[in-house]
Amino acid sequence: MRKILNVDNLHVAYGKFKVLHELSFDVEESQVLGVIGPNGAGKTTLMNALSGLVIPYDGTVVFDGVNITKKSPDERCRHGIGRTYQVPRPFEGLTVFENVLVGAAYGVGKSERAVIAKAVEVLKSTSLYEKSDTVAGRLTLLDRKRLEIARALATEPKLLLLDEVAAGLTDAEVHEVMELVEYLKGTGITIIWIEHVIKTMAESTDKLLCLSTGTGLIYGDPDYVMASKEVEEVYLGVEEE
Amino acid sequence: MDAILQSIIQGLLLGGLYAAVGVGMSMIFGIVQITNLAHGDFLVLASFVSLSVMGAMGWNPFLSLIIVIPVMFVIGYIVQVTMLNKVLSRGAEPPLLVTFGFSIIIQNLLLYFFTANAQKLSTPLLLKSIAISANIRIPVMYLIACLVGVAVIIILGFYMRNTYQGKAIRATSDDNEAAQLMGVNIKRTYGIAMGISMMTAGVTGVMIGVLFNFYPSSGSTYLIIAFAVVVIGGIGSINGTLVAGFIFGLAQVVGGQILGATYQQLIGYIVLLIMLIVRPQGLFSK
Repeated sequence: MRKILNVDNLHVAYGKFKVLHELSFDVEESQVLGVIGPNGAGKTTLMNALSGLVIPYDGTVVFDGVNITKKSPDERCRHGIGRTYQVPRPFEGLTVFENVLVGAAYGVGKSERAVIAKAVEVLKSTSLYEKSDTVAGRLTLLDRKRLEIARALATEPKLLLLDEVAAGLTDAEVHEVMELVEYLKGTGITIIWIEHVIKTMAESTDKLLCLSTGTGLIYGDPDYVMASKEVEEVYLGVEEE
Repeated sequence: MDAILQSIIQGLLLGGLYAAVGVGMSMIFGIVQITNLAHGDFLVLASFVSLSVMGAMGWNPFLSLIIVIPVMFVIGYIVQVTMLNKVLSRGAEPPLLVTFGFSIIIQNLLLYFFTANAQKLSTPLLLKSIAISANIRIPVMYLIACLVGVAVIIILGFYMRNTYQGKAIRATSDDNEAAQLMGVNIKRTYGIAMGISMMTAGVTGVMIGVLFNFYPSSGSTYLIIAFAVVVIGGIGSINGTLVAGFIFGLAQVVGGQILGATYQQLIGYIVLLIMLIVRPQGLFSK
């Protein structure tokens, strides 16, 4: 498989506070990489660094053969990186259809007819088509999560960054979102996925990366990562002798 | 009774123009979160651009809009992209100071090139009126200015709702970070928004130049009107601006008719003050 993303020696800081340091990993095309780690490990910062919302002070991010380390979020989007937020941030004053239309029009830059066709296709695949005319600010949390994914899909990403899509949902709703994630996996889009429900991640991902205090602790097949002592220590703490 | 009716008509007609005075400023407030202290000066700049075009080409004020509108768009786009965008990330004060600086620069440049003399964009329409009854007349130029003002707002609303660029501007106004993740280049979008705001200032500036005398220092008068309309209507609300324009125009003219012309300005600002106390977020706040 071709490597679509290469993160090399990434360092990110907010002022003097270093959040990520010496982080390196690769993602292969069509792979699903799960990123786990305790609170404060730097998972969301990693998403921000990959989507361009923060610029690393050292290290490189190469996506699809292009060094995107210093590129802006809109340039990365047009290059094929889509992203969802943990707490959905729809354009509340726009309808569901308009929300998706913005992504389809600006993320891909197609003709008008193709943009509308793309928006309709994405809304159908995310079960939002019936709510096309609803103002996004009036959606339930589950539908807002769907809209986050729909908007990102409308930009036709080669790499999709999913930030805790299941957070805050009931068990039944989590099941519905997971069905959507399974659909995404079937489309062949490469996915980097943060989630707190580790069991779900282990079952649904090709590789796992465990972060701890801003750096990669362990990376590999889910079974290997989940069985490792390092992950156990990070989540459960070290038992004192 | 006829005098009151006449002043209601006059107030409504003036209100349509006032709405157009404020709509560009409201838009920039809502989208770029900038208080454009030079909005009134840009409006007066448009009057002077029209005056120059009329002088050079021998056109009437309305025909001069063919030049004024694109010129104002280009000025707005360049100001936003080359200067305001560069200070946006540094908090609210630097953009405010930049626009204040523009206000001073525009006034002094106009003073240098056109002197402090009163100017007017002349058209024979200013003397024409439509008789409704023996004592009630509709001044044709006020009617045109009102219709143009309302048309500006309707076209702007249509553009925002029905074009991809308009949707991108609204999306950026809602959440500029999320808009970037959708591929929207927000700095360019801000530039286009400022360009559109200046286009509205261009159209309104020409109407004002026809109706009233203008000087290089007239901008502050229209800045205050724009502020009043934006505050009463609700920041960023295009429809609110229209309603606020009518309220402000009516308050000024009808109030002036009842209490005397000396109080005309004061009454308008008393309405603004009441609005700030009762509903500080404006009638149609986002």
